Amino acid sequence: MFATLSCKAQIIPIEQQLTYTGDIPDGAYVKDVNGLLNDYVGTWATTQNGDRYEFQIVKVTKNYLNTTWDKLYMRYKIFNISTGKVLVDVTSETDDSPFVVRGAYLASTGTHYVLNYIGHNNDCGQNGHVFIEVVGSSKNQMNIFLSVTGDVSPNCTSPVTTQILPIQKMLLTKQ
Amino acid sequence: MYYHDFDGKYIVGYRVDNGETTKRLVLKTKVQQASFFNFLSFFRQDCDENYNTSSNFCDQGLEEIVISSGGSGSGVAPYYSLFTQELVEEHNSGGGGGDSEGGGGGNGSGNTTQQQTCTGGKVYNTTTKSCQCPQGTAPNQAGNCVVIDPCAEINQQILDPDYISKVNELKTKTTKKVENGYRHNKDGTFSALTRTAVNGHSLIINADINTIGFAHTHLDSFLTGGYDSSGNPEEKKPIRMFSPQDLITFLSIAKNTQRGNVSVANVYGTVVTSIGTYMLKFADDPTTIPNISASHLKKDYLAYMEKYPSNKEKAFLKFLKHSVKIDGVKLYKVESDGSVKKKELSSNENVDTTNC
Repeated sequence: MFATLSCKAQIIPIEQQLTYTGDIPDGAYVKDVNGLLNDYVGTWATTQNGDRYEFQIVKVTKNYLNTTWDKLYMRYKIFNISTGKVLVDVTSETDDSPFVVRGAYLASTGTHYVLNYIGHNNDCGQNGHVFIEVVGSSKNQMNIFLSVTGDVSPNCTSPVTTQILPIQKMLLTKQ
Repeated sequence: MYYHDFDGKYIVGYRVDNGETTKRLVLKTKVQQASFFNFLSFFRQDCDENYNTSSNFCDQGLEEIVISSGGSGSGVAPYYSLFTQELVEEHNSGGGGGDSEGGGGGNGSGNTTQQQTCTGGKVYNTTTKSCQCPQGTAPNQAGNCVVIDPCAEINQQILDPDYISKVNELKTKTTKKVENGYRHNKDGTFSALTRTAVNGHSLIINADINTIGFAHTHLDSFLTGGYDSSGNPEEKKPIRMFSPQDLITFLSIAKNTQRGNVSVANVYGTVVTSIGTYMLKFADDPTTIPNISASHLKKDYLAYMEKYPSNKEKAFLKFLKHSVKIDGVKLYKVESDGSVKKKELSSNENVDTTNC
């Protein structure tokens, strides 16, 4: 839900989020004033080793902890081209789902964006940060990779040894 | 299986199913106390479905009392002691206070000792022959052991030279690209922790019923080694405070103390960061700790860390209060001079710091 802001609400451009000093004030709006997130919006895909990777990115405005934020939310689906077997599909998850990959911050250089990733096997280490960057003069390609954190909780019975998102940089094409 | 004395007077019986003693068979009026030597009776035919009405004890009928299952070993047949002249029922001690669940570190199967099963974190005192709360704890109204003074426990723990050595070592490793840490075992030893998933920088703590705590690093921001197409380095920004998984691991260690193998007074979690060393203690009834999900908590956790980027104490305490809602979790900071500070939220939800 988009909250109505008073004319005194503080606007913090998203490119200044990382360098902002102190707590983000109540009533503030961390806003994409310069439209830096717009190029990321869309469906991006590629096929690699017989598997189809599809990523859907939307730009959202969310209000929580008395602060408003412009964010990118990413959903994804990975399936085998030949068999149709779905390896993972979070495209139907609602915004509140922990499995939607939620934006964390735009790099201070403004040249890439980082999201927080929680996988279905989060208890066994499927978690970390997804880095995305729109590339090419036509801005119809995007690099993506997962930097694994690998936090494990006691509920895990066998630590995961492979990740399902690409840990090496993968080039996607806008659909 | 029936026990009689030499006069044929019935003492007690047991029904055994698949090798397990499942029911005690007593006379409906009262339990007969044997006064002579043990005599195992095989007069089963006197008490089968068609009762022999001339049999003394069958005339009176038997009442079946279900023996509650204590896991492995609860079915060990009782014997009549010549010394105490009473029936003795044995229980397999297994691992961890007589509880059969996951008894890692126990004496193994088939090893039976006579002891009472204690609950609520109590341990069996072989001198007083009773269950008692371990040192540093006291029973609450429900009879479960609760830490008396977490500050006292921390102040004592940080005098342990082994603990000091491990924490000092970890302080030199907060700028690495992988975490380092140790699991603290109840015998005083420390086990080095190993990394988790491929390419991950976090550790597996693998706490069990012999674990009293853990100490590990959370890292400074570090470069992944990759660069974007503009040549700018891609930097990872770990959070220098306990993670939801750390919290869940700590709570599992606290909850395990119900088995009486480890005292909740000794339980802790430590995170060593370049902005400070923090410790968790549990100051409430461990039996009340609910199961919680790291996946659902992490969303809230990240929101608080994002809102309060330069005040991780405030972010974590608010996360504890508004999302985790387990009052017994207490946060402390161990300063470089060895002093311990308790961290809490004030009424206006700023961080209150008090000396421990």
